[in-house]
Amino acid sequence: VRDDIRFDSREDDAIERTLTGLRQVEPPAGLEDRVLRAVHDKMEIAKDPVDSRRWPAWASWAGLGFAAATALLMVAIALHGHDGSKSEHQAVSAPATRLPDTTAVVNPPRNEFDGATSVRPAKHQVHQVVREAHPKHLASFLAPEPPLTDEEKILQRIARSGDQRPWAILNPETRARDEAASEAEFEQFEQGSK
Amino acid sequence: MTVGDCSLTMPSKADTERLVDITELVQAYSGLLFRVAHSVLRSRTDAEDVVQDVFVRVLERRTMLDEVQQMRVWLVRIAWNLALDRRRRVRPEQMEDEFAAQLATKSVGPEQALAEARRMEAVLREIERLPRAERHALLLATVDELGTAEMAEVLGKSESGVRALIFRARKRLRERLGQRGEL
Repeated sequence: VRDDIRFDSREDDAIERTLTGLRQVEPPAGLEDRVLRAVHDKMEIAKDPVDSRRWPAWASWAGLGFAAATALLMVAIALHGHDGSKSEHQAVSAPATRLPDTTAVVNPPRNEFDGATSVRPAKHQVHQVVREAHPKHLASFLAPEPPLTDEEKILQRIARSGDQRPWAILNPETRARDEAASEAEFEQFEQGSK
Repeated sequence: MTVGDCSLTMPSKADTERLVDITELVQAYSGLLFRVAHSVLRSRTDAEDVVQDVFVRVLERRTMLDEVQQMRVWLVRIAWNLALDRRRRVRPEQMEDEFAAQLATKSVGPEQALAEARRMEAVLREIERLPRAERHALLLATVDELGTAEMAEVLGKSESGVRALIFRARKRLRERLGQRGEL
Protein backbone atom coordinates (compact mmCIF):
# COMPACT_ATOMS: atom_id res chain seq x y z
CA VAL A 1 0.00 0.00 0.00
CA ARG A 2 2.82 2.37 0.86
CA ASP A 3 4.41 1.76 -2.53
CA ASP A 4 1.10 2.61 -4.19
CA ILE A 5 0.87 5.89 -2.31
CA ARG A 6 4.40 6.84 -3.18
CA PHE A 7 3.78 5.86 -6.83
CA ASP A 8 0.60 7.92 -7.07
CA SER A 9 2.18 10.96 -5.52
CA ARG A 10 5.00 10.79 -8.04
CA GLU A 11 2.49 10.72 -10.91
CA ASP A 12 0.50 13.56 -9.35
CA ASP A 13 3.63 15.57 -8.85
CA ALA A 14 4.65 15.24 -12.51
CA ILE A 15 1.13 16.06 -13.71
CA GLU A 16 0.90 19.09 -11.44
CA ARG A 17 4.30 20.44 -12.51
CA THR A 18 3.41 20.09 -16.18
CA LEU A 19 0.01 21.73 -15.80
CA THR A 20 1.53 24.53 -13.74
CA GLY A 21 4.04 25.07 -16.55
CA LEU A 22 1.16 25.45 -18.98
CA ARG A 23 -0.64 27.78 -16.58
CA GLN A 24 2.32 30.11 -16.17
CA VAL A 25 2.88 30.85 -19.84
CA GLU A 26 3.07 34.58 -20.43
CA PRO A 27 2.21 36.21 -23.75
CA PRO A 28 5.21 37.63 -25.64
CA ALA A 29 6.00 41.34 -25.44
CA GLY A 30 4.43 43.48 -28.14
CA LEU A 31 1.72 40.95 -28.92
CA GLU A 32 -1.03 43.58 -29.11
CA ASP A 33 0.94 45.75 -31.55
CA ARG A 34 1.65 42.85 -33.86
CA VAL A 35 -1.97 41.72 -33.76
CA LEU A 36 -3.19 45.22 -34.59
CA ARG A 37 -0.69 45.46 -37.44
CA ALA A 38 -1.94 42.15 -38.85
CA VAL A 39 -5.54 43.32 -38.62
CA HIS A 40 -4.58 46.59 -40.27
CA ASP A 41 -2.79 44.79 -43.13
CA LYS A 42 -5.75 42.52 -43.62
CA MET A 43 -8.06 45.49 -43.85
CA GLU A 44 -5.83 47.26 -46.38
CA ILE A 45 -5.84 44.20 -48.60
CA ALA A 46 -9.62 43.89 -48.27
CA LYS A 47 -10.11 47.56 -49.20
CA ASP A 48 -7.82 47.48 -52.26
CA PRO A 49 -7.16 43.93 -53.39
CA VAL A 50 -5.23 45.00 -56.53
CA ASP A 51 -3.18 47.93 -55.34
CA SER A 52 -1.69 49.94 -58.22
CA ARG A 53 1.27 50.92 -56.03
CA ARG A 54 2.28 47.30 -55.67
CA TRP A 55 1.50 46.34 -59.29
CA PRO A 56 3.34 48.43 -61.90
CA ALA A 57 1.72 49.02 -65.30
CA TRP A 58 4.04 46.64 -67.13
CA ALA A 59 3.04 43.84 -64.79
CA SER A 60 -0.62 44.35 -65.62
CA TRP A 61 0.07 44.24 -69.36
CA ALA A 62 2.30 41.19 -68.93
CA GLY A 63 -0.47 39.51 -66.98
CA LEU A 64 -3.03 40.25 -69.68
CA GLY A 65 -0.69 38.93 -72.38
CA PHE A 66 -0.01 35.78 -70.40
CA ALA A 67 -3.71 35.18 -69.85
CA ALA A 68 -4.45 35.61 -73.58
CA ALA A 69 -1.62 33.25 -74.57
CA THR A 70 -2.82 30.65 -72.06
CA ALA A 71 -6.37 30.86 -73.40
CA LEU A 72 -5.18 30.40 -77.00
CA LEU A 73 -3.00 27.47 -75.99
CA MET A 74 -5.89 25.78 -74.18
CA VAL A 75 -8.18 26.21 -77.22
CA ALA A 76 -5.47 24.72 -79.46
CA ILE A 77 -4.97 21.76 -77.12
CA ALA A 78 -8.72 21.19 -76.88
CA LEU A 79 -9.12 21.14 -80.67
CA HIS A 80 -6.11 18.90 -81.19
CA GLY A 81 -7.06 16.63 -78.31
CA HIS A 82 -10.59 16.21 -79.71
CA ASP A 83 -9.26 14.73 -82.99
CA GLY A 84 -6.42 12.87 -81.41
CA SER A 85 -8.46 11.32 -78.65
CA LYS A 86 -10.60 9.41 -81.15
CA SER A 87 -7.71 7.56 -82.70
CA GLU A 88 -6.04 7.11 -79.33
CA HIS A 89 -9.23 5.72 -77.84
CA GLN A 90 -9.55 3.26 -80.69
CA ALA A 91 -5.96 2.19 -80.47
CA VAL A 92 -5.90 1.66 -76.72
CA SER A 93 -9.36 0.38 -75.90
CA ALA A 94 -9.85 -1.97 -78.82
CA PRO A 95 -7.43 -4.69 -77.72
CA ALA A 96 -8.03 -4.22 -74.01
CA THR A 97 -11.83 -4.47 -74.07
CA ARG A 98 -12.89 -7.79 -75.45
CA LEU A 99 -16.44 -7.24 -76.48
CA PRO A 100 -18.72 -10.24 -76.45
CA ASP A 101 -20.61 -11.42 -79.45
CA THR A 102 -23.44 -9.00 -78.81
CA THR A 103 -21.23 -6.33 -80.35
CA ALA A 104 -21.61 -8.06 -83.59
CA VAL A 105 -25.34 -7.53 -83.40
CA VAL A 106 -25.10 -3.92 -82.35
CA ASN A 107 -22.32 -3.04 -84.79
CA PRO A 108 -21.60 -5.59 -87.48
CA PRO A 109 -17.89 -5.69 -88.33
CA ARG A 110 -16.85 -4.00 -91.50
CA ASN A 111 -14.11 -5.21 -93.69
CA GLU A 112 -11.77 -2.35 -94.28
CA PHE A 113 -11.15 -3.62 -97.79
CA ASP A 114 -14.80 -3.80 -98.82
CA GLY A 115 -14.90 -0.12 -99.63
CA ALA A 116 -17.53 0.68 -97.01
CA THR A 117 -16.98 3.45 -94.49
CA SER A 118 -15.85 2.16 -91.10
CA VAL A 119 -18.46 2.88 -88.40
CA ARG A 120 -17.46 2.83 -84.73
CA PRO A 121 -20.03 1.81 -82.10
CA ALA A 122 -21.43 4.72 -80.17
CA LYS A 123 -19.85 5.30 -76.73
CA HIS A 124 -23.00 4.44 -74.77
CA GLN A 125 -23.36 1.21 -76.72
CA VAL A 126 -19.81 0.18 -75.86
CA HIS A 127 -20.35 0.97 -72.20
CA GLN A 128 -23.56 -1.03 -72.13
CA VAL A 129 -21.88 -4.05 -73.69
CA VAL A 130 -18.93 -3.82 -71.34
CA ARG A 131 -21.25 -3.70 -68.34
CA GLU A 132 -23.09 -6.74 -69.58
CA ALA A 133 -19.80 -8.53 -70.11
CA HIS A 134 -18.64 -7.72 -66.57
CA PRO A 135 -21.59 -7.96 -64.19
CA LYS A 136 -19.30 -7.35 -61.22
CA HIS A 137 -19.20 -3.69 -62.22
CA LEU A 138 -22.82 -3.44 -61.23
CA ALA A 139 -22.23 -4.74 -57.73
CA SER A 140 -21.77 -2.05 -55.11
CA PHE A 141 -18.85 -2.08 -52.72
CA LEU A 142 -19.24 -3.91 -49.44
CA ALA A 143 -20.06 -1.77 -46.43
CA PRO A 144 -17.10 -1.24 -44.07
CA GLU A 145 -17.01 -3.35 -40.93
CA PRO A 146 -18.78 -1.80 -37.94
CA PRO A 147 -16.48 -0.53 -35.14
CA LEU A 148 -15.67 -2.86 -32.25
CA THR A 149 -17.81 -2.68 -29.13
CA ASP A 150 -16.18 -1.78 -25.82
CA GLU A 151 -16.22 -5.44 -24.76
CA GLU A 152 -14.60 -6.52 -28.05
CA LYS A 153 -11.91 -3.90 -27.61
CA ILE A 154 -11.13 -5.25 -24.14
CA LEU A 155 -10.92 -8.81 -25.49
CA GLN A 156 -8.62 -7.58 -28.26
CA ARG A 157 -6.39 -5.85 -25.70
CA ILE A 158 -6.21 -9.01 -23.59
CA ALA A 159 -5.32 -11.08 -26.65
CA ARG A 160 -2.58 -8.69 -27.73
CA SER A 161 -0.98 -7.80 -24.41
CA GLY A 162 -1.53 -11.02 -22.45
CA ASP A 163 -2.55 -8.82 -19.51
CA GLN A 164 -5.34 -10.64 -17.65
CA ARG A 165 -6.47 -7.71 -15.52
CA PRO A 166 -9.00 -6.30 -18.03
CA TRP A 167 -11.05 -9.53 -17.62
CA ALA A 168 -12.32 -7.99 -14.39
CA ILE A 169 -13.96 -5.16 -16.34
CA LEU A 170 -16.09 -7.68 -18.23
CA ASN A 171 -17.49 -9.01 -14.97
CA PRO A 172 -20.66 -6.96 -14.16
CA GLU A 173 -20.17 -7.28 -10.39
CA THR A 174 -16.58 -6.10 -10.48
CA ARG A 175 -17.52 -3.29 -12.84
CA ALA A 176 -20.39 -2.14 -10.61
CA ARG A 177 -18.04 -2.15 -7.60
CA ASP A 178 -15.43 -0.11 -9.53
CA GLU A 179 -18.05 2.38 -10.67
CA ALA A 180 -19.33 2.82 -7.13
CA ALA A 181 -15.79 3.40 -5.89
CA SER A 182 -15.15 5.87 -8.71
CA GLU A 183 -18.38 7.71 -7.92
CA ALA A 184 -17.39 8.00 -4.27
CA GLU A 185 -13.97 9.29 -5.27
CA PHE A 186 -15.52 11.89 -7.57
CA GLU A 187 -17.86 13.10 -4.84
CA GLN A 188 -14.85 13.50 -2.61
CA PHE A 189 -13.13 15.50 -5.40
CA GLU A 190 -16.23 17.66 -5.84
CA GLN A 191 -16.39 18.44 -2.12
CA GLY A 192 -12.71 19.22 -2.12
CA SER A 193 -12.95 21.59 -5.08
CA LYS A 194 -15.90 23.55 -3.63
CA MET B 1 3.07 51.13 -34.90
CA THR B 2 1.68 51.08 -31.38
CA VAL B 3 -1.77 50.43 -30.09
CA GLY B 4 -2.32 54.12 -29.64
CA ASP B 5 -1.30 55.36 -33.07
CA CYS B 6 -2.73 52.50 -35.08
CA SER B 7 -4.95 54.34 -37.56
CA LEU B 8 -7.43 51.88 -38.94
CA THR B 9 -9.66 54.14 -40.97
CA MET B 10 -13.02 52.98 -42.17
CA PRO B 11 -15.44 54.65 -44.56
CA SER B 12 -18.37 55.22 -42.21
CA LYS B 13 -18.59 56.53 -38.67
CA ALA B 14 -20.24 53.34 -37.42
CA ASP B 15 -17.43 51.28 -38.89
CA THR B 16 -14.84 53.53 -37.30
CA GLU B 17 -16.48 53.03 -33.94
CA ARG B 18 -16.45 49.28 -34.43
CA LEU B 19 -12.79 49.44 -35.31
CA VAL B 20 -12.06 51.29 -32.11
CA ASP B 21 -13.93 48.48 -30.43
CA ILE B 22 -11.63 45.95 -32.05
CA THR B 23 -8.57 47.86 -30.86
CA GLU B 24 -9.98 47.75 -27.34
CA LEU B 25 -10.72 44.07 -27.70
CA VAL B 26 -7.13 43.42 -28.80
CA GLN B 27 -5.82 45.26 -25.76
CA ALA B 28 -8.18 43.52 -23.37
CA TYR B 29 -8.12 39.94 -24.59
CA SER B 30 -4.88 39.22 -26.48
CA GLY B 31 -3.16 37.73 -23.42
CA LEU B 32 -6.09 35.48 -22.53
CA LEU B 33 -6.50 34.28 -26.11
CA PHE B 34 -2.77 33.62 -26.33
CA ARG B 35 -2.92 31.37 -23.26
CA VAL B 36 -5.98 29.55 -24.58
CA ALA B 37 -4.26 28.85 -27.91
CA HIS B 38 -1.00 27.96 -26.19
CA SER B 39 -2.70 25.36 -23.99
CA VAL B 40 -3.58 23.45 -27.15
CA LEU B 41 -0.57 24.18 -29.34
CA ARG B 42 2.31 24.54 -26.82
CA SER B 43 4.06 26.82 -29.30
CA ARG B 44 4.39 30.56 -28.79
CA THR B 45 4.60 31.30 -32.51
CA ASP B 46 1.54 29.27 -33.37
CA ALA B 47 -0.40 30.68 -30.44
CA GLU B 48 0.36 34.23 -31.58
CA ASP B 49 -0.75 33.39 -35.11
CA VAL B 50 -4.03 32.12 -33.69
CA VAL B 51 -4.57 35.38 -31.77
CA GLN B 52 -4.04 37.33 -35.00
CA ASP B 53 -6.46 35.05 -36.83
CA VAL B 54 -9.07 35.57 -34.11
CA PHE B 55 -9.09 39.33 -34.56
CA VAL B 56 -9.05 39.06 -38.34
CA ARG B 57 -12.18 36.91 -37.98
CA VAL B 58 -13.67 39.49 -35.64
CA LEU B 59 -12.97 42.18 -38.23
CA GLU B 60 -14.64 40.12 -40.91
CA ARG B 61 -17.72 39.75 -38.69
CA ARG B 62 -17.66 43.30 -37.32
CA THR B 63 -21.25 43.93 -38.37
CA MET B 64 -22.49 41.33 -35.89
CA LEU B 65 -20.39 42.49 -32.93
CA ASP B 66 -23.39 44.25 -31.40
CA GLU B 67 -25.26 40.95 -31.26
CA VAL B 68 -22.59 39.12 -29.30
CA GLN B 69 -23.83 38.55 -25.75
CA GLN B 70 -20.67 37.31 -24.03
CA MET B 71 -17.75 38.82 -25.87
CA ARG B 72 -15.11 37.12 -23.74
CA VAL B 73 -16.55 33.62 -24.18
CA TRP B 74 -17.18 34.26 -27.88
CA LEU B 75 -13.54 35.26 -28.44
CA VAL B 76 -12.23 32.34 -26.40
CA ARG B 77 -14.37 29.95 -28.39
CA ILE B 78 -13.00 31.32 -31.69
CA ALA B 79 -9.44 31.02 -30.39
CA TRP B 80 -10.09 27.52 -29.07
CA ASN B 81 -11.53 26.29 -32.37
CA LEU B 82 -8.77 27.89 -34.44
CA ALA B 83 -6.13 26.36 -32.18
CA LEU B 84 -7.70 22.89 -32.43
CA ASP B 85 -7.84 23.27 -36.19
CA ARG B 86 -4.17 24.24 -36.33
CA ARG B 87 -3.28 21.47 -33.89
CA ARG B 88 -4.33 18.84 -36.44
CA ARG B 89 -1.51 19.96 -38.71
CA VAL B 90 1.27 19.74 -36.09
CA ARG B 91 3.22 16.57 -35.30
CA PRO B 92 2.65 15.88 -31.58
CA GLU B 93 6.16 14.65 -30.77
CA GLN B 94 7.71 17.78 -32.26
CA MET B 95 5.39 19.92 -30.14
CA GLU B 96 6.10 18.12 -26.85
CA ASP B 97 9.87 18.06 -27.32
CA GLU B 98 10.17 21.80 -27.67
CA PHE B 99 7.77 22.78 -24.94
CA ALA B 100 8.98 20.22 -22.38
CA ALA B 101 12.60 21.31 -22.89
CA GLN B 102 11.67 24.98 -22.36
CA LEU B 103 9.64 24.17 -19.29
CA ALA B 104 12.24 21.92 -17.71
CA THR B 105 15.07 24.47 -18.03
CA LYS B 106 12.90 27.00 -16.21
CA SER B 107 11.88 24.75 -13.34
CA VAL B 108 15.11 22.86 -12.49
CA GLY B 109 18.86 23.17 -12.83
CA PRO B 110 20.76 22.17 -15.96
CA GLU B 111 21.81 18.78 -14.50
CA GLN B 112 18.25 17.68 -13.91
CA ALA B 113 16.75 19.43 -16.92
CA LEU B 114 17.03 16.46 -19.26
CA ALA B 115 15.32 14.03 -16.89
CA GLU B 116 12.67 16.60 -16.04
CA ALA B 117 12.03 17.29 -19.72
CA ARG B 118 11.51 13.57 -20.32
CA ARG B 119 9.03 13.36 -17.44
CA MET B 120 7.09 16.33 -18.80
CA GLU B 121 7.17 14.91 -22.29
CA ALA B 122 5.67 11.70 -20.92
CA VAL B 123 2.88 13.64 -19.18
CA LEU B 124 2.14 15.75 -22.25
CA ARG B 125 2.16 12.67 -24.47
CA GLU B 126 -0.36 10.96 -22.20
CA ILE B 127 -2.52 14.09 -22.15
CA GLU B 128 -2.69 13.86 -25.93
CA ARG B 129 -3.84 10.23 -25.65
CA LEU B 130 -6.74 11.05 -23.33
CA PRO B 131 -10.28 10.90 -24.71
CA ARG B 132 -11.00 14.13 -26.55
CA ALA B 133 -13.56 15.62 -24.14
CA GLU B 134 -11.35 14.92 -21.11
CA ARG B 135 -8.27 16.30 -22.85
CA HIS B 136 -10.07 19.49 -23.84
CA ALA B 137 -11.42 20.08 -20.34
CA LEU B 138 -8.03 19.48 -18.74
CA LEU B 139 -6.19 21.79 -21.14
CA LEU B 140 -8.75 24.57 -20.90
CA ALA B 141 -8.54 24.33 -17.12
CA THR B 142 -4.90 25.40 -17.34
CA VAL B 143 -6.09 28.89 -18.35
CA ASP B 144 -6.51 30.42 -14.94
CA GLU B 145 -8.63 33.36 -16.07
CA LEU B 146 -11.43 31.04 -17.14
CA GLY B 147 -13.97 29.93 -14.56
CA THR B 148 -15.87 26.66 -14.76
CA ALA B 149 -18.95 28.44 -16.14
CA GLU B 150 -16.95 29.95 -19.01
CA MET B 151 -15.23 26.65 -19.72
CA ALA B 152 -18.63 24.99 -19.84
CA GLU B 153 -19.80 27.59 -22.39
CA VAL B 154 -16.74 27.07 -24.58
CA LEU B 155 -16.92 23.28 -24.45
CA GLY B 156 -20.70 23.11 -24.73
CA LYS B 157 -21.08 21.14 -21.46
CA SER B 158 -22.66 21.73 -18.09
CA GLU B 159 -20.50 22.98 -15.23
CA SER B 160 -20.75 19.69 -13.36
CA GLY B 161 -19.94 17.91 -16.62
CA VAL B 162 -16.74 19.94 -16.97
CA ARG B 163 -15.73 19.19 -13.39
CA ALA B 164 -16.36 15.49 -13.97
CA LEU B 165 -14.29 15.55 -17.16
CA ILE B 166 -11.35 17.20 -15.38
CA PHE B 167 -11.54 14.67 -12.58
CA ARG B 168 -11.68 11.72 -14.96
CA ALA B 169 -8.86 13.15 -17.06
CA ARG B 170 -6.54 13.46 -14.08
CA LYS B 171 -7.43 10.03 -12.80
CA ARG B 172 -6.90 8.38 -16.18
CA LEU B 173 -3.66 10.29 -16.67
CA ARG B 174 -2.35 9.14 -13.30
CA GLU B 175 -3.28 5.53 -14.01
CA ARG B 176 -1.75 5.46 -17.45
CA LEU B 177 1.47 7.12 -16.33
CA GLY B 178 1.67 4.55 -13.55
CA GLN B 179 1.15 1.65 -15.94
CA ARG B 180 3.79 2.89 -18.35
CA GLY B 181 6.30 3.50 -15.59
CA GLU B 182 8.08 6.29 -17.44
CA LEU B 183 8.34 8.62 -14.46
